[in-house]
Amino acid sequence: MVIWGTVTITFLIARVLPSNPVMLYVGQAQITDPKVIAQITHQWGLDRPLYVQYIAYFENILTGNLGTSYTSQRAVIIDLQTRMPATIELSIFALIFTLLIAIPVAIVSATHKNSPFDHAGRIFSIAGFSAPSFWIAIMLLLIFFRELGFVGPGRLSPQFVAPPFVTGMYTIDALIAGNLPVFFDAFEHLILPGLTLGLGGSAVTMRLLRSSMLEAINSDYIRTARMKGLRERVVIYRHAFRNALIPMTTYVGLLIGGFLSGAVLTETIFSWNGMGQYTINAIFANDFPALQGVVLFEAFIFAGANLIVDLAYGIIDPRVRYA
Amino acid sequence: MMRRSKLTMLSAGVVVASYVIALLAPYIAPYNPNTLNLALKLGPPSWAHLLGLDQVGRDVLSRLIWGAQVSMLIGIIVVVLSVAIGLPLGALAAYYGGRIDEIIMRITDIIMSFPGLVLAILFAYILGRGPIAAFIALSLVNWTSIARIIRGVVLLEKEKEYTTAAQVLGKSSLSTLFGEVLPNSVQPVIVWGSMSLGNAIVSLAGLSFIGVGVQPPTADWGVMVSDGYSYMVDDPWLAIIPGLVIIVVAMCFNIIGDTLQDALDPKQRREMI
Repeated sequence: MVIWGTVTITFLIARVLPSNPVMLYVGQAQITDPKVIAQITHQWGLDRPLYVQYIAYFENILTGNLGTSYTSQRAVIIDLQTRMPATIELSIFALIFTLLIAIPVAIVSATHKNSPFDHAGRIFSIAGFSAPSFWIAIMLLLIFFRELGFVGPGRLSPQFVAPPFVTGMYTIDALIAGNLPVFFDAFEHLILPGLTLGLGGSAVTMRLLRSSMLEAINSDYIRTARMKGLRERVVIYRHAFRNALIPMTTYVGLLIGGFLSGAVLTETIFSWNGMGQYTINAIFANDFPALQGVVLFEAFIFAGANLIVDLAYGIIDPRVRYA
Repeated sequence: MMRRSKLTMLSAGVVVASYVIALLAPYIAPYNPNTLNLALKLGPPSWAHLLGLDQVGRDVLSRLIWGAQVSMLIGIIVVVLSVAIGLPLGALAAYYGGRIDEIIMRITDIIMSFPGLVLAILFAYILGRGPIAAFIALSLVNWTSIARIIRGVVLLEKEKEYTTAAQVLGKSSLSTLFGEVLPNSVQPVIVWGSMSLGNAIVSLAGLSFIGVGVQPPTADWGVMVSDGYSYMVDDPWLAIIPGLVIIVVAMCFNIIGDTLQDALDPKQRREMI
């Protein structure tokens, strides 16, 4: 039911876009012959009544046909196939950075509550949460690219060519092709955008982990563990941390969903050819099929991530199962 | 604890100051934010222009001050609209349950299954770009979270004794809902509202940055970052400063919301035990 609603809304939204895509396209291709314009309109099926278009759209979706993009003239599915790996690569890096930052900070923060480090950590977390991602991106570019000469936007430096397509992820493909320079270059290009997303994501993750750790540390079973004479480090890592991970995992799941559905702003600034950029371009070009396809895809990923998180929660936390 | 309250007071001060600045913008901005002065473009800070000039010679400080108008207003309007839509829907869903609950929850699920920013950009574009479109777009995306929160709270309150008492006394369902239950559900709305104000400012900046929010040449913090980005090589501060302003203001809202949450939460927990 939700799926149907999603599909319908996507269709309606695309149709409600203000300009006429045919006009935009012919404007770019500089076609002025009204007969050709009419032909294109007919070819794209836009001259049929709305409900006919809707039914055709639905049928196509069910067979996995997402239509042909107006701007790229390729099947939307193919477009997505080329864009998705870029977003996946970015999401992996974003996830790594998120955890890399959030976990240590949270642990130290929780174990040294109210210390200067703790306060600094909380302010940092609120800052990360309040900072617009595009600003973080710009700042990172300024510091590392402009001042320190680190690599700039894009997935590869201009002198390199993308490795042969296996997964679409440059790092993996470069390794498969045995091309180390490209691998390192692609890797370096992933760092700044990944860090941008990671900083934002780590903010809330860190707070969640910190508060659940605090709850765990103050609980009875930790006191029992200490009374048993276990070393403090074991107490913290084996018991408190493990249990505190549960709420954090749910949030991280949602975060991954968010990363995968395309971090629009970050991708734009880093000229990252992922799903986010594709979406924006589709919106501004009024590319109905592309827009419908990508929004639908993103919605599915996002909803899928939510679903997995719900299920995982039921599995990880035995208490929930018996509730 | 002492440090917490000082920080919160400071944040509250900044927020109030921002609203004051926004309201008094026409009177306190040293220059017209839209006056071009190409001869002086990209000028460094000076006594005449405390924060320098941007790429077409407009005074940065004045643009920041005027930019406050849109950003601070946005927060309020978006929160008010979101609550206006979300609160009744969430409350009705929880109170009456059954089919109404199902329908409303399905709608929220559908909307929430789209990534928020993408949906907001889409709505804003459809509605014609510009600040009004942005307000409406952000509200249409945000109402779902407050609806869910209210639904949760009302579900809890529904089981308490005073609701049964009211019904026994002969009060109608609607009257019970709005007269008794909702006033007790106000706390999470306040916390949510505070955080949302901050988020709305950041989201609006994002929309403006992409080009579907406030349109240039109107002064707005997001637009300023976007402009500044093009001139990053010549004068990075054009992009840095408005961004810092956004962060500071949003942070203050979030700090306040955070403190409110801590202040209100333990009380609720104790009540539930």
